[in-house]
This record gives sequence, structure tokens and C-alpha cells, in this order.
Amino acid sequence: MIHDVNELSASLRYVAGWADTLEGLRRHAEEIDTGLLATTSAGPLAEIRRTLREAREFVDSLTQDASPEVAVDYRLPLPERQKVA
Amino acid sequence: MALPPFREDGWLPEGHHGATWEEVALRFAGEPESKRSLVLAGLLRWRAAALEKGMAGLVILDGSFVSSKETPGDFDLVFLYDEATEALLRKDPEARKLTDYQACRALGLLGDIFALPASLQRVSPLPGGLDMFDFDRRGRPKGVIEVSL
Repeated sequence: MIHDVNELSASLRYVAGWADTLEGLRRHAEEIDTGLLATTSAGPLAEIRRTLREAREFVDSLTQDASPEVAVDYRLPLPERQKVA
Repeated sequence: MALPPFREDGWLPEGHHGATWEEVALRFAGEPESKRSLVLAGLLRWRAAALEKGMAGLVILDGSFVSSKETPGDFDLVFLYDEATEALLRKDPEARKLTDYQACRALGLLGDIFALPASLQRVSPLPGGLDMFDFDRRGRPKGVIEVSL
């Protein structure tokens, strides 16, 4: 359950991650063979990702007390995963 | 390198922490016959089945199972399978069930399994893809476990 704007922001980020992953899978499938799903899902996925980005920007603008680790600048690429030995 | 202690909020420190399955079992087993021990058993059952099918790849363990929570409800993992496993999955429907989120839930493994081809990252290095497990529900960075299948 989502309780506040911070959690909504994090949930939207989570869903956006999966949308990006689906787009990656679509491109992966397209490389192997140009099946129906790979081509027809391109449009819907583009719309989902764009709308999610807009939703995240709006929600984050509502986060009055966003701490530095929560606020995200969408213009910048996300940081690399920190791999710990 | 030993797994680090949990933070005050119960999560591992930020980052992807490499581990062996022995370390995972030792650290996250919980008390005998506890809910946590049942969750671990489900995880190890899935792993054994995947190994028996000849699968290989990287497992990322996430969620409350790899936190200090006494009674996690389930385990959460991402399985990034290698190209040999990708070829196997095209031919073997029984193996595919072990990478099918719904089929695995139906098996009662007590876990959410997200299986993806590791080659995905080569084809589409999208920012945001596959890092969504690195943050808690409030968007704060947290740690996860990486272990070879």
C-alpha cells in the first residue's frame, strides 16, 4: 500500500524500471527475430515510459521535503550500480 | 569478504554484495522451523531445480528476506541467465517453468522470481532498467546480494 507522496515516487520509479526492462526485452527479441510482439509492443511501451516519466516528474515536484537521496534529476543518467566485492 | 552488518533501518548497506550460497544460508536462515527458514528452503529448492536443469547465471537477492526482518513473507530474486541457459529455455518447457513468475508461485516456493537474459544489458543498457531493486519503498538506496547460481 502507498501511504504518501514519497512512497508514490518510489513506486513510480520501480514501475519505470520494469518498463525500461520490458523495452530492453523487446529490443532483445527484435534482434533475434522480428516477431509480432517485438514490433507491436514498441508503441505501447514508448507511451508507458513517457507517461511514467511525466508522472514521476509531477509527483517529485510535490515532494516538499525530498531529501537528496530521493530527489532525481531525470536529465541525468542514473548512477552505475555500486558493486561491492 | 564477509557480508556487512545491517543498517539501522534493517537493510544491508547500499550496493551489490557478493556472497556464496553458504554465506546466504548462514546469514539468512533464521531459527529452525521459523517462517524465515521455510522461505530459505523454498529458495534453495528453486536453486536445486535450476541447477539440475543445467541453468547458469547470476542471482540477485532482494527484499525483506535479505534484511533484518524476523519473518519475511517470501524471497525476491532476479535471475540473469547466461546465453547457454537462454538457448536451453527455448527448447525445454519444463526449464522455462523455473523462470516463469506465475509458474513458480504456483509451485509454492514462497518467492517472487524474475528471470531475464543477461544479454539484455548488452542489447539495451537503459538507465533505470534492473536497478529498481536497489531502493526501498521510500526511494532510499539499499543493498542487495549477488550470488552465482
